[in-house]
Amino acid sequence: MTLAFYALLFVIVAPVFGGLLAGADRIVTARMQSRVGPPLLQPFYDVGKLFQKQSRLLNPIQEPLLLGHVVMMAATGAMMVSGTDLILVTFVFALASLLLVLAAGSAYSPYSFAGAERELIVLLASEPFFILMMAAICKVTDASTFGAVLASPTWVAFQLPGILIAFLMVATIKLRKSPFDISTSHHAHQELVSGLTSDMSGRLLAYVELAHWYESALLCGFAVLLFNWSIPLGIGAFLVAYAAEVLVDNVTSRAKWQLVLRSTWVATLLFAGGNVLALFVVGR
Amino acid sequence: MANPLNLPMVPRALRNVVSRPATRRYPAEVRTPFEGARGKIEFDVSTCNYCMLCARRCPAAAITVNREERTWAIEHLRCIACNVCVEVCAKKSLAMSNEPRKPHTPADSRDGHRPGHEEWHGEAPDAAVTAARGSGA
Amino acid sequence: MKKTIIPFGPQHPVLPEPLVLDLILDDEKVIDAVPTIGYIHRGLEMMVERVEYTEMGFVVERICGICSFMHGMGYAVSLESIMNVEVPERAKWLRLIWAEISRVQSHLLWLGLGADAFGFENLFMHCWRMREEVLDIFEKTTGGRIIHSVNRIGGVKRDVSDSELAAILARLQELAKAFEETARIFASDPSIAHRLGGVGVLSAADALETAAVGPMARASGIRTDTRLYGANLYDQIEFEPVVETAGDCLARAVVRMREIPQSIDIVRQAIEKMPKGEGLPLENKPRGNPVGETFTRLEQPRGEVLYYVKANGTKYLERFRARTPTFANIPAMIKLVKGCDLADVPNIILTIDPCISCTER
Repeated sequence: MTLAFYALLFVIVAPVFGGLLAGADRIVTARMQSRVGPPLLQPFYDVGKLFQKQSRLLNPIQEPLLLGHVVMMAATGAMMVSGTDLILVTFVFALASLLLVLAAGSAYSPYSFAGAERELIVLLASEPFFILMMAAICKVTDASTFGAVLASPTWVAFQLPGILIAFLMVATIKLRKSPFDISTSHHAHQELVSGLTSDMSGRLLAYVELAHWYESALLCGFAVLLFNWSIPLGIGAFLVAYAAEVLVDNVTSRAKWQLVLRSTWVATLLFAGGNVLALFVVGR
Repeated sequence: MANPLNLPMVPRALRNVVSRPATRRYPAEVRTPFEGARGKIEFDVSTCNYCMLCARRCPAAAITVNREERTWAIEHLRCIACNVCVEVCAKKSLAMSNEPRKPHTPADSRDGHRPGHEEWHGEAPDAAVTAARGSGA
Repeated sequence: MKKTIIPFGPQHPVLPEPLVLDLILDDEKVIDAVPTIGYIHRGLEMMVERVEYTEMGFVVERICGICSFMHGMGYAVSLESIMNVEVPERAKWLRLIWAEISRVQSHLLWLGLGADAFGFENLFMHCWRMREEVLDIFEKTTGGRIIHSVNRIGGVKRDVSDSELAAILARLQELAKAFEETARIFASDPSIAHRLGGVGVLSAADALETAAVGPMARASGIRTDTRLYGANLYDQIEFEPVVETAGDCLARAVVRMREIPQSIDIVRQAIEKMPKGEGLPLENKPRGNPVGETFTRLEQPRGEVLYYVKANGTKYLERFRARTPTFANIPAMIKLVKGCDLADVPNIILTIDPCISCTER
């Protein structure tokens, strides 16, 4: 019963958290660019407006796919906090991301299609890390669910410093920040226009935004897993990491896909893989 | 390859966070226009002698003058603020204000209203007109 | 595999203006690029038949919003040479000063747009904030930020007092100092080097073959600059054109970056050399209607521009034509786009500093 309550709590609180985070992000980004910036609640106004706007439905499949994207994203978080096996959570997370790729690929625009191809590339770059991270967390805590990891006396972050470094890099992809925002970006000022979301309008785009808020909250949940001594500490660590991402976003240009794939794989192998290898060597 | 951790924009970005933004909240906070800025044309109907020189020299054909009915009209949306009419006006009836025109909204064109259209009606023709006609041609 | 065709333009956020480039892609490699122009043709050259030559200057100025001062100046210089009007000394110097300030403005705009094309939004805002200061100088001295309307056939319409000129110079030099940081960012940022270094290399031979002009040619090691011919008082200015040899996108950015302090230095020299004092003559009004034809060349921020004017003694010109630098640089751009990555396309297009409004008029 309590687990179901946690799941419901995530579904309700996560978008609020993600939206506020996006609002704060926009203010900080604006200040870094010496602009005044929008109000904190601007992302909510935007999504509200998107829901009111006319949606151009290009084909009958896109809307179900995007709805599925939002639902799966929310479900991933809900499953995580309600005690599903963490490896399973990672796979559901990948499936949720894949639905967005399918929705973008089903559109007719070449921009959207090329964006979908690039999103596949970034999934290819980020997924191995998430599986490795979850496996490592489960290994060091000897637990397989969110609650059990939090209850574990082992301090995960101390055991997995390499994973932490790689997490920062991969989170750049998931938060769609420069230099890794190749498939779509917040600014729609790239060679693929808005890439993945080029062909989405009205409520379809609102679904993507909403799913992104869930995704931010989910990543925050991952951070809590890494800093498992207390939930506020995990959230605090995530906010610090997010601020660092915003800074990186503002001091780099967008990389090409070859570099994105190469650098994230090198980071996954070197830091995350090396970390896990070291655990096995030391643990023996 | 260059060192990926050497990011020269970082100090600038951090400095921007703590310093005052360069932009302003526009409709709420408006910059005072510069001294010599060309904003909009202002017309003084009392001194005009309806010589039509401004209308003839206006490159954008924004000014219409009717000598018989003594009306002077300008379409501000056509006006390119080139200052030519002000330069040619012998009576100094025209002036260039440095205040820019306010932007128009759809509400301005309701009820058949023409946005940007301004019209002046002078007093009834008198002896001055005949004099102007003589010299204006 | 089926080839993807990406319509790059006419409405594309990376391009400031409507140029169409149909990119034929194999995966993310560009195999071919087919350019189409004509989306912003406004028939401005044809307007000489309906607009009197005295008013045509305002039309010419509106060919493009970035090089508007130079266009107005080029038209005025052409007509002055046809009508044998001697322009007062101070007016000539003022024109030179404004022309160089507009080069600073144009290059800052371009650096921002270039940064935006490779996804560096912060640098984009940074460059444009600096550009605002230059536009403020224009608004104070000419009355307009973008369209200045100060050039008339025979001179200029407004004077700038000597104290004001000194203040402008001080401000520009301050700007040059602040710009050093931006220049360092462009030169040393690894993510910029990743996006621009070695991308779109135009060899000197190719630059000559495709007749590239302006910064595009200078970045490939060709010492070409219309200002070197000395017209419009440039013979009294000491300067050496900025030449880079790498020929890649980064070199083209570096050329423009180095031209900003150079232009500010030219403004300094001009202010030192111009006749001082209040109330000096600024305009010699031409008499009658023009007869004859002429060519005028100017070095715009984007490269050499060429005006052809033919007058037949009426108040309407017979022919007016402007060949703008972007038009000359498009063949080189197409050559570079073939074979590059899709992600490089915006950088290559933007490093020629395209001005499609100029190209199509």
